[in-house]
Amino acid sequence: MADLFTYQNSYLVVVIFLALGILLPIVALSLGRLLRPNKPTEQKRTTYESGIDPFQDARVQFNARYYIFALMFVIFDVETIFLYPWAVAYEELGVFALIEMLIFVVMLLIGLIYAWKKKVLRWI
Amino acid sequence: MDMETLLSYEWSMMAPEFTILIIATVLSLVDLFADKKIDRKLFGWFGAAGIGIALFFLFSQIGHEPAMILANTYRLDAFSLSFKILLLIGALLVLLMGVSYEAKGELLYRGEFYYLLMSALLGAMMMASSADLITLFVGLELLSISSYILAGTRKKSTQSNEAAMKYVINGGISSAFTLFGLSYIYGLTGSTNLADISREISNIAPENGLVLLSVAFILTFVGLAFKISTVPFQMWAPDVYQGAPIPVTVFLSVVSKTAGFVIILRVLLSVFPFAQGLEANTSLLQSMMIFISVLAGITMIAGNTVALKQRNIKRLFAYSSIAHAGYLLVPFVAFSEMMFESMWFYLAAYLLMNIGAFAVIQVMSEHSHSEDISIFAGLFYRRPWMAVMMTIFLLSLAGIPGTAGFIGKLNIFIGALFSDPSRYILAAVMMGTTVISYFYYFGVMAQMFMRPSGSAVPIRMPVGVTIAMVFCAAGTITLGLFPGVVLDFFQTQFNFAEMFY
Amino acid sequence: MLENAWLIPLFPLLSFLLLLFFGKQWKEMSSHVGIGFTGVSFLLSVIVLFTQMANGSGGAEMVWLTIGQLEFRFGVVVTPLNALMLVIVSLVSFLVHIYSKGYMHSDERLTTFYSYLGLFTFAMLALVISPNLLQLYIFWELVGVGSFLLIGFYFYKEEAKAAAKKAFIMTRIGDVGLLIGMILLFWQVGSLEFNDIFTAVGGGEVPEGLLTLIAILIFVGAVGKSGQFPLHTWLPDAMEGPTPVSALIHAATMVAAGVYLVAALFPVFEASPAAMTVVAVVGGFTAIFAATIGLVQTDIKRVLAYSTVSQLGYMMMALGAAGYVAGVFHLMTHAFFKALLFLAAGSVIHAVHNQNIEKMGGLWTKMRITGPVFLIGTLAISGVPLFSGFFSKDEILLATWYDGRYGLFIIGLVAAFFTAFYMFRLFFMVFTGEHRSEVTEVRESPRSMTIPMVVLAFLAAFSGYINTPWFGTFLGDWLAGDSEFLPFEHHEGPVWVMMAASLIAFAGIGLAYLIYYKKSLQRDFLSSHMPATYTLVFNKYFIDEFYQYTVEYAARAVGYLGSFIEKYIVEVIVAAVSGVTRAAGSLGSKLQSGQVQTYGAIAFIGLAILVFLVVWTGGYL
Repeated sequence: MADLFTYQNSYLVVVIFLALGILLPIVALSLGRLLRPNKPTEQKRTTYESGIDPFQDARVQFNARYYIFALMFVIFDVETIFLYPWAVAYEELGVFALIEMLIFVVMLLIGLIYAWKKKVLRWI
Repeated sequence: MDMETLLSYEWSMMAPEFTILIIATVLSLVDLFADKKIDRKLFGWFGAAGIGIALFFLFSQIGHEPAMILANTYRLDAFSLSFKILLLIGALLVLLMGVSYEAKGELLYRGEFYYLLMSALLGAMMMASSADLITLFVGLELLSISSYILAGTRKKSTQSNEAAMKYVINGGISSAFTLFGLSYIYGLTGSTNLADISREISNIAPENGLVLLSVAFILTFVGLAFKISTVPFQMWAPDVYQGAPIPVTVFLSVVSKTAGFVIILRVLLSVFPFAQGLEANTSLLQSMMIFISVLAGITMIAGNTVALKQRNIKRLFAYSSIAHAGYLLVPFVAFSEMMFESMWFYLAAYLLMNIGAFAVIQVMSEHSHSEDISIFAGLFYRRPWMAVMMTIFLLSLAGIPGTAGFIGKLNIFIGALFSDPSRYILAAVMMGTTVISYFYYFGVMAQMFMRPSGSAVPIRMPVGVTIAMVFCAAGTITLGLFPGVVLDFFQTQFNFAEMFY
Repeated sequence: MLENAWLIPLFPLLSFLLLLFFGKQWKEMSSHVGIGFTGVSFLLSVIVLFTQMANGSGGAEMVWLTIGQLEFRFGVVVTPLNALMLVIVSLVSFLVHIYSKGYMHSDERLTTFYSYLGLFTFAMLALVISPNLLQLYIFWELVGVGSFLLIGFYFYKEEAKAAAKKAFIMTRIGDVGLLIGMILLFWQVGSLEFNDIFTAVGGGEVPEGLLTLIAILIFVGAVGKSGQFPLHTWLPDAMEGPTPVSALIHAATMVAAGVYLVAALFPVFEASPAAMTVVAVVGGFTAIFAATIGLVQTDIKRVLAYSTVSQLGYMMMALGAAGYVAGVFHLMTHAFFKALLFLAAGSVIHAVHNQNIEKMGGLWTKMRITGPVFLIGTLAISGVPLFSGFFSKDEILLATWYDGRYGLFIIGLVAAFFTAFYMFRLFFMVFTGEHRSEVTEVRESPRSMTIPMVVLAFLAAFSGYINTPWFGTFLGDWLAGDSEFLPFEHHEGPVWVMMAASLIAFAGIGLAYLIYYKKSLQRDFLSSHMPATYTLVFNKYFIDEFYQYTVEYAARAVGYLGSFIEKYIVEVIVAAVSGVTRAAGSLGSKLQSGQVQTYGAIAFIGLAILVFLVVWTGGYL
């Protein structure tokens, strides 16, 4: 049973973080509600939009291209993240890692070509 | 790892996988750059040729000593070889059906279908020959993600989109379950390599890890149950099968399902027979079989009874496919020495009869732009050959003697009764539900033979789907009448003891 | 020759395949193809029969399939029983093929009909030469498919569709029993070869209780196929099929397959007295039960159908009473006279375009061949002395008597009485009296229909002489002589049994004569000469009325009771089984809401339940 308890105990940290994460906003917001004075006016109730008068509905439809662009960005972001540590430790990793990395880059390249030909990169 | 070890690997072991990979890559690039006017159906024939080459490599590997390369992550043994043959033949037939598939303007990017099919196949093949949890999971996801897109290939059809969406969401949940289960196994043994795990796992003292290991078993199994569509993860199948284009439906119900069984066998049999069970002198796998047998029973009952109410032929076959997955779990539960043999044979029979039946469905539903069961009305009087072939498939699915399905069921049956302990309750459930299944299979047959045909418009039979149909019919009959030929080959060429390390 | 017996079923198969694929071009020719191929089969069967008689049993086998250490074989075996069945099946099939040429000539799907007939004949012939249970089961199912296709031949009729479905499902229920029995047997013996089974059973390798269970389960299969109570309801409905089909499948051959099965596995049954009793009692009950229903039917084919059920019950009763030879003998004679009766009924239907016997009558003078052959068939089935049915029925009654089953003996006598009564009722209503048909110009059927009937009439009259107490028990010696597993002793019966059987038959005929023949004359007589002969007429009338009120009404009441049991008990059970299945189906489809979150939730709940169970049974909670 000893191993099992060790195993379960290591989840204790997760539980603590979870509890903290939930408690923090609840406590902060309800404490603020208790402490602050509450005198609403019409002006105060408007949505805060960086000092500009709010217009339109807050829930607008975004162009789906934003999403695909973001996806592309993330993919190449990940590529750099992989490439960087490999470049740093190039000496130790050797030829095998080089080949692996080349395969990885070529795959992403095919992906890029695909996105390009499917006109993802063109903004209307 | 240096260059020398890299070169010392016997790379030819992976020749089938490389072939498929190259074909998939080339097809995707050619599709991007080739002129719009070029008929993308050519891709299908090209892909079929590629699968043919891969099959050739695969057959030349038969008799190869069990071996592992790439730091023991890729394994060539009788298990992987025999099941990869099924996967490749299945994919080949699906490809032939896909070439003939017309969906009145809904199939916008035809080229995509072919190379996504190839990449899905590659994932399935990796699942068959991986010996490491990580590569197994990567193979699983490669298959899954390709299939998600494939399910939505009919871009303008809302049903197809709905199918893809449902498939993604359920697939995500199942992957989470599987990964959670695998993480327990890793946590308890400290390795992702199946060979290492099978060594380590027997060292785990029962009082420490047993409960976690049992939970890991259940999590992994339930997660993987998604791929083979058994209870409790069968709900997606009817909706997805109905919405997806027919070749994709076939792919999901045959190739993907075979891959699901492959991964279940590979993971569960590499790990759990070596762990101490709940009672003394039993393995954990044996202790867990009672749960699997209950699931198998519920699957058979649910699949067969709900199928009775279906009017849509694709939905009907979705439930039939669920039921067949239930039958296929029976030899796994029985765990007799004939387990591999009977599962392999049943999967082979199922491949032939199900693809064949769907080939006929494809022709008929394209002809009448409907998927209602009544599209078969009077088929015998319009296309007698096709009606006869469909009858062969239906009889085989129902397990009527003279067909491959009967031999498959017989195998499973005998395995279940002669195993120790014998699983006669499960065998009884299987028999009872098989009888129920007669009702809906014969409903289709009644349509073909006992209804007047509505229209006299000649039915077009494209070449690809016809080849698939004839091949399947011939195979179903051959396996049904001369099962000895295949079973002998199987027994002499494949030694499944190789699977264990 | 015996090792080449596999050629016999091959010819009908060839006919089936050829007609299936080239039938459309051949049209009218297809009947000749079917007749030709079945004729060859028949000739070969006769050769096989004589070879068997000369040289003894034989066969050929090869390994078909190996599963683990278990071997399944495929082949042919010719024993006296098999050889006899081969000849019966191929002969009746051959004659029905010829008959159908005339009967079905106007049907546009003639080729389809002949191809189905070929398929059925193939399956039936292959069934009777199977050397093991697995092979037998395979063709057993195929025979069911052929029957399904042929009952539903007029698929545009709702009743025909329903009947085909019902027949298929009801026999399937029986087949499940057979399959389970087979599996249990296989489990115990490790082989499905008849010889291995008999050796194992003879050596006492199978525990007594299990053997009884196995025998009863196998009998359940026979009950389904042979239309025994309570799975008999499909057989009368199956009359929706074309009449030649009724003659071939639902009178002479397929329905007899259940009897054949019990006969072929006779050593297994014989080893278990309890199973024998079950067979005998179910058979006896069916014999009397179906006979009473037959009394009140007005559809010519339905009367014959219930009569078939009743006669099959007779055979079962004989087998259950250890009368192996009696059962098989009656199977043979019944095949001839019942096929004859159906073909003759078909000829009548062909002539008057109706199946209701109330609307027939007076056909004797108009159908110069059908009438006499129908009479021969009726005499044979009623057990009138010197006709074939008399000898086989006598043999059955003797068997029950010697087995000490006196209750069944009496049931057999009563059933024989009913049989004679309702068969002659049928005969008198159809062939005598006034002409009641709407068709005014009744013509005799074409020669292609009458010749098969004449051949069968000859057999129905004289086939009984191969096993008589007077001229020797040739059939019995031959059937049982060859096998080490079949003890055979012929019972030299007391003469009074034979006398009683004859008297019973005549009593039934006489009653029918009085009610359905004489009475109509009297009514004429009464209306014209009322005052003069009043007393005499009254007395006569009194006798008629007496019979009417006592015997016929009682019989009617029993008949209605039988229909009632069938309608409200048997069918309710069937409905309940299918209802539960359907309910499970609709529950399943309700869960299938199309909501992806439901699907996920079900998977998750399933997982949670499993994890809970695992942890619980593992003892961690």
